[in-house]
Amino acid sequence: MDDKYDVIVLGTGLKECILSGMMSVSGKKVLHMDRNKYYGGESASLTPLDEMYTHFNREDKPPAKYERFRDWNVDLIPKFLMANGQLVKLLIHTGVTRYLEFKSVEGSYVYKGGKIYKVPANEQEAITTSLMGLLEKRRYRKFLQFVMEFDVENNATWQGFNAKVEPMSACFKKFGVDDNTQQFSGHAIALHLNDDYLAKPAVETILRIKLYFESIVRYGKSPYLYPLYGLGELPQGFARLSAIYGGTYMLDKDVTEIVYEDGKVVGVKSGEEMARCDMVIGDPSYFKEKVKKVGQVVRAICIMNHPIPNTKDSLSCQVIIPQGQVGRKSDIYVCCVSSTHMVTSKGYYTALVATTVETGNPEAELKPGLDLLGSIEEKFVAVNDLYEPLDDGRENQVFISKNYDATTHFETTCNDVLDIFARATGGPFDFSKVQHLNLDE
Amino acid sequence: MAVGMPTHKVILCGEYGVGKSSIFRRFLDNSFTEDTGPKSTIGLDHFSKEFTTSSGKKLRLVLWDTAGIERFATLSSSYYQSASAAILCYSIANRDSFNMLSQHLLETAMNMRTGKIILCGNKQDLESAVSEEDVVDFCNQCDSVISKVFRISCKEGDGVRELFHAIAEVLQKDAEERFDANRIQPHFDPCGLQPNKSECC
Repeated sequence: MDDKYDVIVLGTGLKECILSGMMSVSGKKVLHMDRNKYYGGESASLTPLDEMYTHFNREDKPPAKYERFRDWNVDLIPKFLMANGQLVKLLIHTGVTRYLEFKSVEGSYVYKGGKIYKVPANEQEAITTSLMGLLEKRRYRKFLQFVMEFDVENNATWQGFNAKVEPMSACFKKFGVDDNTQQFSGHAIALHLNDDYLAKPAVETILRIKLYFESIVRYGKSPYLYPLYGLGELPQGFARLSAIYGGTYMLDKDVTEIVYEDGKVVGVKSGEEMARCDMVIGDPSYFKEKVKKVGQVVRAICIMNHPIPNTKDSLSCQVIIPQGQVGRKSDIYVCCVSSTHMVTSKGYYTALVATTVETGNPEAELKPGLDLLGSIEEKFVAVNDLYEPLDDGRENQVFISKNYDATTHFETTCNDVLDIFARATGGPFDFSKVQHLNLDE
Repeated sequence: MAVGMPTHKVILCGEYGVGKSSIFRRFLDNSFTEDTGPKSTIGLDHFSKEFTTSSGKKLRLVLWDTAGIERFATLSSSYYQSASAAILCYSIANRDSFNMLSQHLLETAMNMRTGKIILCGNKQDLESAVSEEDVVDFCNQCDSVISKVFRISCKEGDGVRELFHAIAEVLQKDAEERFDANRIQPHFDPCGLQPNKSECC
């Protein structure tokens, strides 16, 4: 370990592993450390199932009916990948897809008035959905046509609406769509966390809706993908990429001190050993003094012996409860996976209910989501603090990631990663640097 | 890649420094280097090659290297997944690497689910610290988990060709037996997604 590196990465969560991979590929000499014995940190998938019980300080063991325990890979922070989204682009461009297999998520649903409805996945479904009335459907269709044809660079597609300047609320108004349509478009399709987007320029929301529908077109049933054997495969895939490009991996290694000279980081100590470096990247848990708490997320991971009711027995799905439907400021997210993705033993399902904490009784805030699940066999609840770095890291060359938010997709995760990369290297990631040798005979 | 030819993932396991990347190099272009350290693996992670068995059947072996991760960290579970065979390596010249085999065997057997394990002693050109009897004892201790046993020298190039041909034979035979039993593979998903098919490699 007593060596000099360009970058030392602390923690093997997904964000850190992606950054480690990108740095190694860009020709940097990387040392990647984790205090845990396993990969993934906060974003690990626990296996076998006993580990889940241990992690949540349960004294009992999983019941025998859940055998084989090895078949389980329970994500601590379940999320789905948008098929046309940034993480899939990162996976493809870096070649990490070769280490993973994906399956489509079967359905995407939205909550309205105590019931759940399938988010219309195409024009046909938009016409037949019971989510809205007949007249509203026509208005929604016109709105969708506008969105799909919209091209930022071509003002002939703008229909006289300047989306770069005018807010999203004006865009909804232009097409006369009602509150309900606005809610599911803004939250279940554009995946906004709260209603702040309404006052911001419409272009971002329009592009997000476009992304959603382009993702559906790619693989069919829903815009989401999920990797076989759980999300824990993702950080491991990027870790492998980093190692192939020369990155050194040390797990089960305590970080005792981060060493600074003249206000700039110069190395990382583990006991008596010290590795020198020009830059440190890591998750907030390694920098207690350099982060601030910005909120909390509450997550309930539930084991069930049936799919989520009213989802046409989907083996995997997402349900979004827009904040406005349940009188909250932030949405509640529900997602469900099963043995079809090799993350449970046969006949069992794991469902996640998560939201941003708004009250002193976080678990109670999940109730609208938990009520959708039907009978629950086991429930593991965790409240996690969300930390953000105090500064952008340019001064001391310490770049700290944000904790994972309540969303059930990776778009915010990727924004953070690409942002850190740009801050740390002074420019965006150049995908053309990844050149995999194709040496097959 | 020829359509329809059976393809098998083969992985290398064992202690750091026993010559896994040397086996990979021999497989890749039949070369050898004295260089040690992470340099020997950079930029390469897997390589595939076509084999013809004694019965005339063609199949493709894709050999995966560890990228040196095992030096200070455990290998990721995805490395083992969907592997048809693992080459469990030790150095004939290094007793410790042999003593650690049971650890690696356990790790491999737990993660690989189904797959053949081939025991391979490398560095036969050096002075031996592991006898034939040690190997027989080890195999007996772990019942019939180990399909084949080899001793090779990557430096001299001895036994490497035979090693991979034997793996091809074992996997072909195994595939035929499975086919006869008319088993289906639950892992196999005809509508499975391969987003990288056209966009990388």
